[in-house]
Parts: sequence; structure tokens; C-alpha cells
Amino acid sequence: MISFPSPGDLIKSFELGISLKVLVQSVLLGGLGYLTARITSTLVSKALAKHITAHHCMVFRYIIFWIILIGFGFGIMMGPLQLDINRVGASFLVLLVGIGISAQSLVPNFISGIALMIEKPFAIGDNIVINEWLGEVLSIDLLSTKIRTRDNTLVRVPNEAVLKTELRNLSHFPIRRLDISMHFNFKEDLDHVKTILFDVAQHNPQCLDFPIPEAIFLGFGEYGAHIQLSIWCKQNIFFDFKDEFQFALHKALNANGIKIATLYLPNI
Amino acid sequence: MSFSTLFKSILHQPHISSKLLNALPFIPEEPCEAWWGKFDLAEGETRSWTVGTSHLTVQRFQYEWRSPSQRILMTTQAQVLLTPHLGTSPLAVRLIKPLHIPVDQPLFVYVIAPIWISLYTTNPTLLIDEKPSLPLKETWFGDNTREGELCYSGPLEYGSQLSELIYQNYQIIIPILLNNGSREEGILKRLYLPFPSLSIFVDGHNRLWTEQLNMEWQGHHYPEIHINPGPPRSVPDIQKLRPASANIHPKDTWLTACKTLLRKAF
Repeated sequence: MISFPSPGDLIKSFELGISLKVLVQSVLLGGLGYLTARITSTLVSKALAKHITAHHCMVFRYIIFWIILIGFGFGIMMGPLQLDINRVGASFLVLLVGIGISAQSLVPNFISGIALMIEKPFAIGDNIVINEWLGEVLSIDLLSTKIRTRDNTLVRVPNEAVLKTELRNLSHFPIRRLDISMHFNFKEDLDHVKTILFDVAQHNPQCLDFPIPEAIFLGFGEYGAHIQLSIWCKQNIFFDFKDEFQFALHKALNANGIKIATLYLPNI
Repeated sequence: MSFSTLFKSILHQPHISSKLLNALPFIPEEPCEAWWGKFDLAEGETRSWTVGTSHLTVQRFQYEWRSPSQRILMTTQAQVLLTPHLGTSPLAVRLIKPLHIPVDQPLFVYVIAPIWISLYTTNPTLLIDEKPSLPLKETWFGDNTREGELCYSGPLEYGSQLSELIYQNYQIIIPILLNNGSREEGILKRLYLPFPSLSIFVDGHNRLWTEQLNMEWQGHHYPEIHINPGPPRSVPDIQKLRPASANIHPKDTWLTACKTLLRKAF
């Protein structure tokens, strides 16, 4: 039967067993272990980088690093320190239980991190909207996901929150639709308006030729005829395209003497 | 022997029956002007080329090539290379008038599409500038908005007789053999041309050609596109000008992926 050592016993055993020579050996082995873990995990992650996602690569690197480091730790305890395996094992279990109790909030995040790795709702580099944050995913760690917002700030979202919250991935599909809603005075010639809208789309090289641009008469609104222009572009240029297209649209409508009652875009 | 088997066996004959497919391509009286080739530039000299509606300009210095789009720092050699190119993405064009493909009745169609122009340094070869000869737009080609491919779209002409079409020296001719082996009439609304997988050939009249494409339906939503290796067989005095830019594995020469949409696919 395994007897759990008391903290006093542990301290006593360390005090009695460690000489200067053993201490130096242990430190050197520890250093070697750290270097081995660092180099091996980096090399493995680089070798796998072409075959798996950046997220999986990062997780593999962490796992390999800690397995090697813990392995060396056990080696030091069993080798130079010559500690009893039962006592070491029991102490390790006590340590794990202690960490588990003191860091209860970490466990759901850790499990959520694993779930994110399996589900893969987004990847590093994707633009996502989570809660009120819109930004590029910088890293998906085991405990949290880090996002760089468009105004260059870092947002750390716990993985549990990522998993529980509704999330919008703006980079998942290669192309995106931009909807622009406008109200035009009822007196305007809507056929002429449609011609101008399509002309702007036709002359913008970043506006995709297919799916075909559409102008939809949504209804008779408070301010006038409610028309929505739906056009498509590559998702990676969406924000630049949106700016450029709206400027061009505004210019073309002004040049043709057509007044927009309101012009707004939906939240991205 | 079924017609389709017979047809495939005909396809692999060294000489295709002109009665079945078409007469020899139209040979113009006057050859087109060849705008490609190597050009000498002295230090400090600026040279421009206009092909289609595109202009390429380069200025040579002792240690720099300068174009409107970029500057390349290197010890410059006297020559630059101007060459036709087929771009980095396929061309997918909506046909204004859809093309009806009858069942089991092979049709031969010539398509004329704009080409790209590339300007390179020599020794070492570095790209100075690259433009399409006519303005091209980007387009999406796929079953839906989730799966597909980004392509270029641009002005395109087609006809069953090459003599009906007006060829300009900034265009390329793509001979296409269409065959509908299914039981229903096919209607071609969009045409997909796998440009990066095609080579460029030049005939005796300086007209540019690609390999022949064979498009075949077998009752599926999408036809298969096969590239007939080598220059079009019915064009005399033809030689390769530039190899395909995409590396095609022998297995991939039979491009079995979706390439052209039929009406029922929409």
C-alpha cells in the first residue's frame, strides 16, 4: 500500500539526501532536459507545419515539450536524487490534486481548448467576431484564444467563453457578400438607379463577376424606395473593398444627380 | 462498338477526321505582328510596349530595372524578354448566348480569349511586370459559394468557324471539341478554360494557340475537360512558344474536376 508522505517528511528527505555533487548533476540534467524539450518540440512542430494546422502544431509543440520535460524531471528524481518511486508518484499525485483544486477555473478552459482543437471553428489568421470583438485570431492556446482587433489591441478570450458564445468566422469561405441598403426618393427613376449601381459594380475589378451582382427592391420604406445592392468579393479584401466600393458608389450617384435618402451598411 | 467508344478511339488517332470535326483552321492572308521576343536596352534607356489596352514600360540603369509597379536592384543585362502568358488563374466566362450541345454530336468550337503579357529580365530571369492585354475581372466558379475556385473573367469570342472570328495579336485561340454523351441536351452557360495548365503555341502566321481541349459530358452535372497534349493537330507550321505554367502530373492531364456548368447545375 502506498503511504502518502507528509510535507515535513519530504523536506527532511531532501535535506538529508542532497549533496553538492548531486545538486549540480540535477541542475545540469534539468538544463539538458529543458534544451532537449525545446529543440525537439520546435523541430517536430516545424516538420509537421506543412501537414497540420497552425493551431494543432502549437498544441503538439506544447505537449511534446512538457512530456520531455516531465520525463527528465522523473529521471532526475529517480537518478541523482534516488528518491523512492512510490513516494515520488504519490507526491506527484498530491501535487496534481493541489493544482486541480487551486485552479478549478483552468480545467473547463483546458477542456474547451481541446474541444476547439477537435471542432476547428476557426484557424489562426482568420477574422472572427466574438462578443463585441472583431479581429484576427493570433493564437489558440490551451486556456485562451487571443485576438488582434482592427485597432491593434489584444483581446484574450477564455476558451470556455469561446466555446459557449456564438461566434462568427468571417474568413471561413473564400468569398463574401457585401449588402448595401439604400433608400431613394420615390421620384427617382429606379431603372436608371439600377443601371448606375450595376455600372459601378461592373467597373470595379475587385467586384466578382459571378455570383452576379443583384439589386433587390426590398419595399416602400419611410424615406423612399428601399433597395439593396448585393455584390461579392474575395473575403480577404472585404474591408478594403467595402470602403472603396462605397466611395465609388457615392461618387457615381452624385455625378448622376441621384440623392440617397439614407445609406447604411449592416453590421459586419 | 458504342458511338462514345468509337469517338474516343477516333480522338486517339494521329489524324482526326476533318469531316467529323471541322475543316482546317482559317489561314489569314497577312500574318499578325509578333510583339514578343528579346529586346535590347542601353543603360538609361526607357522602352514601352502596348499590347491590347495594356502598356508595359521599363527603364534600365546600371544596377536597377525600374517599372511603374516595382524596382529591381541587380546588375542589369542588355536584354529583356517580352512574352505572352496565360495568367495564374483559370478563365471562367459567362456566355451571353448559351451554347446548346446536342446529344452524341461532337462539335468543334474555336474560342478567342485575351492573353497576358509578361516582361522579364534575362540572366537571371526575374519578372519585371505582368498584365492582361485587356482588363479582366475576377469571378467565382463553383457549384456554390462554399466550394469553387477564383478565376478571371473577360471578353471572349467563340464560333464554329475560325474565319468568322476577328483575331487580334493580343488574343489566343483555344480549340475545343465538345461532346455530349448523355441523354439530354446540354446547355453551356459558362465556359471554364484551365489557362495555367495550357501551353502557348505559335503558328506560321504568328497566331497564338493552346492545346486542344476535349469537353465531354456523360450524364453528370459537369463535363470532364481533357487536354490533348501537344499542338493542335490540324494547324500547320506550329511550334511551342511557352510551356504551361502549372506543373501537370500525367494523371492530372485528365482534369476530371468540374469545369463547365450546364444549365441544370444552376
